[in-house]
Amino acid sequence: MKQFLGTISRFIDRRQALVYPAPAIIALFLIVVVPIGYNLYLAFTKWTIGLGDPRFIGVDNFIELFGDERVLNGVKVMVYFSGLSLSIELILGLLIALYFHRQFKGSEIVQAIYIFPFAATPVAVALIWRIMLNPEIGVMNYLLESIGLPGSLWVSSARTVIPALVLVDVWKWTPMITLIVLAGLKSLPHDPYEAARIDGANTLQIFWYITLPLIRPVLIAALMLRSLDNLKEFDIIYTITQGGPGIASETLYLYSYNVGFSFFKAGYGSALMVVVFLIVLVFNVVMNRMRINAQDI
Amino acid sequence: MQKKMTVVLVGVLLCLGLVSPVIAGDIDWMQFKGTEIRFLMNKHPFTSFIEPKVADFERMTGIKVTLEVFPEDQFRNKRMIELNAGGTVDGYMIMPGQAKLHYWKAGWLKPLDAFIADASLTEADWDVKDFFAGPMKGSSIEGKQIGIVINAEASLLSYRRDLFDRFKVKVPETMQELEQAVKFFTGKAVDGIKMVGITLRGKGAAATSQWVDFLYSFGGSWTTAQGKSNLDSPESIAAFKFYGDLLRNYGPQGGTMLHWAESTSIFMEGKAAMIFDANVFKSLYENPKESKVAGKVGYTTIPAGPAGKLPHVSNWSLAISGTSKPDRQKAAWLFVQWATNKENVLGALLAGVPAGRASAWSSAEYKSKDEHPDWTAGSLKSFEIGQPQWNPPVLNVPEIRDITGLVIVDAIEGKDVVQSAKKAAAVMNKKMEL
Amino acid sequence: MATGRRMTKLFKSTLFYTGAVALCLPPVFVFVWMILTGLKTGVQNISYPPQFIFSPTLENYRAVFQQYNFFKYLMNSLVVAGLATGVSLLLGLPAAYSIAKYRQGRIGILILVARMTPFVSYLLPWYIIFRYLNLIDTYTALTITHLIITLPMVIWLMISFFESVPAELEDAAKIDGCSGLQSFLIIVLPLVRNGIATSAIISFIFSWNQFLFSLILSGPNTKTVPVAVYNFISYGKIDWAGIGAAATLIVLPVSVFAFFVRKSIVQGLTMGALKD
Repeated sequence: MKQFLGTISRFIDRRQALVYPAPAIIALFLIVVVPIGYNLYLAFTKWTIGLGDPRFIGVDNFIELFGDERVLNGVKVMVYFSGLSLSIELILGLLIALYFHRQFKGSEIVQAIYIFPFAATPVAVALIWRIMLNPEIGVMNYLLESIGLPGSLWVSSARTVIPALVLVDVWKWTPMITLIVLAGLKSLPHDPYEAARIDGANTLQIFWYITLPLIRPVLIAALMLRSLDNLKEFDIIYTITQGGPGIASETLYLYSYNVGFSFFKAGYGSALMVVVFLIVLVFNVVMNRMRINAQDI
Repeated sequence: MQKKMTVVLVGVLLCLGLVSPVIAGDIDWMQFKGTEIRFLMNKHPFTSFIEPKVADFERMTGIKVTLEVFPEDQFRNKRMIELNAGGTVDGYMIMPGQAKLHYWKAGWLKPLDAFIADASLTEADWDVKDFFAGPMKGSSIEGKQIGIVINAEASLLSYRRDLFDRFKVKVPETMQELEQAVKFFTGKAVDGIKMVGITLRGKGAAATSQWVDFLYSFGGSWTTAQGKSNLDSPESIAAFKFYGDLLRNYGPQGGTMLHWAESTSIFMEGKAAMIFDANVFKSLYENPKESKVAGKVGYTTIPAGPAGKLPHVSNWSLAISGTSKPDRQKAAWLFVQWATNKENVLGALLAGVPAGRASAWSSAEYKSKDEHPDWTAGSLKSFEIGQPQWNPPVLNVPEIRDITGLVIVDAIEGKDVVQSAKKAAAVMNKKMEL
Repeated sequence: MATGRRMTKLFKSTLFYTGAVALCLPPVFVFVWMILTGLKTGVQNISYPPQFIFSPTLENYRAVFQQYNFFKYLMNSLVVAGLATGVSLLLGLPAAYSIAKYRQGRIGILILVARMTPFVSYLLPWYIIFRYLNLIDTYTALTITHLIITLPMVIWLMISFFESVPAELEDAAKIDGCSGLQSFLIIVLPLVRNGIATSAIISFIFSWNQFLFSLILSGPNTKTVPVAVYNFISYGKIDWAGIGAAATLIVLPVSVFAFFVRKSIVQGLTMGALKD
């Protein structure tokens, strides 16, 4: 028995590189590949859920997709929402981190407060935001009006719905970016700063020529981390607007959900999901390139 | 002496009421003892009414019932995914006008006629003829009964009777009068609140079920006699325009995002003089814990349009899953039968769920307890004149509703309705499946 | 002169703290509003102007626990998040170790791709598969689905922690006669215990917050809190008071938890971002 165990142990040792990752990969494979394979198959079929079997139609779904106005709208909304929210989160996160990047009493409290939105359940806080943003009874308009500003329609107007949703996303995720960047700032080397100060550089110059290049890999990594979820944001939009008013906040991802599950056209819906996946994938590959380049500088 | 008699009498009645299903039963309620059944339910007032009583049914039959309750959107998605996988769901709530064509073709609906006719499964007293013919027809397809009505639903114009009285405004009977009334109230400061004339659903697909009353009353229709989209006919466009203008000019802010909950809460807050929505929401308006307008609301049917007074009548039914096993289907039938018996339907009506049974409405108990005779009259009138076809006559109802909803949104936003309706009609022609 | 400098300093620090408070207000306010919403009655919640001062009611909390059986849902969430985290660690730690040690970057990317897939596309096939395996409405099914989020997360966080373990330590252990497995379990794992705690916490939070998979695959026995909070939306009505109370009950445990382990979370998130 002991010998047997020894043999196993030696086998594991010799094949560590194979044996250690194997269970995780097999598990993910089983969980992911079968459904994704099924999904890919459906993308090339026409199938109304419940009515007969999926019928293979080649690339027809992908051809239809190009003539579908709501696909175009979905991509636009996705770019608008993600572009705006990711850039605000990044810039605001960086600025706030710079603000708090110093020794002060209460830095612990700030850290504690900033962890809350990160941990909060999206569906639950999105519901709270939904009543806060209500133009008739919401507290947001009350706050605006009490400081003399006109109220807004927030998510109830096609013009303001995306900025309003971005506000929620920014509220939820900027603190996380701040905390990441703050930790990143603390780990920066001191030497370049001293050299710059000796050369008489001002604060802005130091930020632009030293801090920003040094912190860029952290920023890009944080951006990647966020974009994984942000590009297929579901909980917040689904809970607050379900894509409305009209289709003004219907991202491609939400549209694919609607087609698949509200309109029960699983074939076409699957094709849309494939497109969403490709967009996320391409974005991350590009970002990864940028990150590697940023580190090479 | 008299008092004592009353107490005794009430006691006897209570006992009778409690045990009557067993005593009066001419079928064996225990025949499926030990069976477990599962129903998917929408979070509807009927569900809230029946849920606490399920234990009685379990005691009476020995059948174990699980009710899984979800809000409507999630409920629909879950129901479809489960039925598609041939899940363990034995029965479910359904709005036949929304889903019956799809579910029937998919084989997810069990025809109930054989159960109803079977004297060993159905009590004579259950009385299928007591149900309103219109809604029951709505719950049938190809001549087969696929659901039993638990709630007949029509939309009513609900208005602030106190304000209409105070300002001597006539309760609108025509669309012109409606427009005058909303105009009168819009912007008026009443008790410190700046009023809006009316609140309506405006959130795309969700609005079509209310807008359809305007569509019909303006003489429009979903499809032409040839089965093509009729959304771009002048009558249909007039309905889009009227509805959108009403909400934009005389409604609350952000009309395009008003789902039922947003719309009812504006009315219940006391900010709107009128609301046009489902009659079942009376129980919301009249609940003083939730509503500031409880006791101040009057009810009437939809005002007459150019084509007359043409409301829709829809219904929620309990259906039995075609994918379930035969013995469980029978056990599920006992549950459906019990849930829709005279006593429960009357109980639900007393709790504010518009009944699908004539006996409930005409019962002495309901009449003596009815605090809102105008609601009763309006509901019954709407059932009488209502159109059972309230959705596009297609298989992919949600998709066509969605397309239609986009025109409603455009109309509320004041965009070019003609162009929008033309576009929607073209898309509808392309996408509709029969 | 000295006073002047002190004044400037005082002024500057007052300015700084004013700014700091302003920057902390938005995160705090939403939580405050959530709590207030749960303490109001239905009528108060639809009143305008919104009420800041009112006599609070605990009625909603009573309803949440008695009518909606919320305690059970909280337990379900706890079990599922715990299981998902445990399994993720069990599978993820060796994988991350191997990826770090043998520079298996490709495997890392592959695992990340799993997280990029649109989660909606899993719903139909998963339901069919779990129905076939008779696993609908079980902790097993929910745990498995949550792995798709937590497992890649654990692996990616742990890679950087394992990379920071000096190779010499392991070499020394080998000379002392430790097998590879022993040195992994006895030498390496204790060295990265911070990382393990961190990734466990973060994966717990993400599992606790998961909505979509739980919506479709849970049942009466396994319903988790993010799904349960939707119970307060009903026919024609949203019970804002109930939602406020329920949301507070969902968000508070995980937020308080995060509060106590915030150092670990920040470290974990940063390690993820700082790694190359």
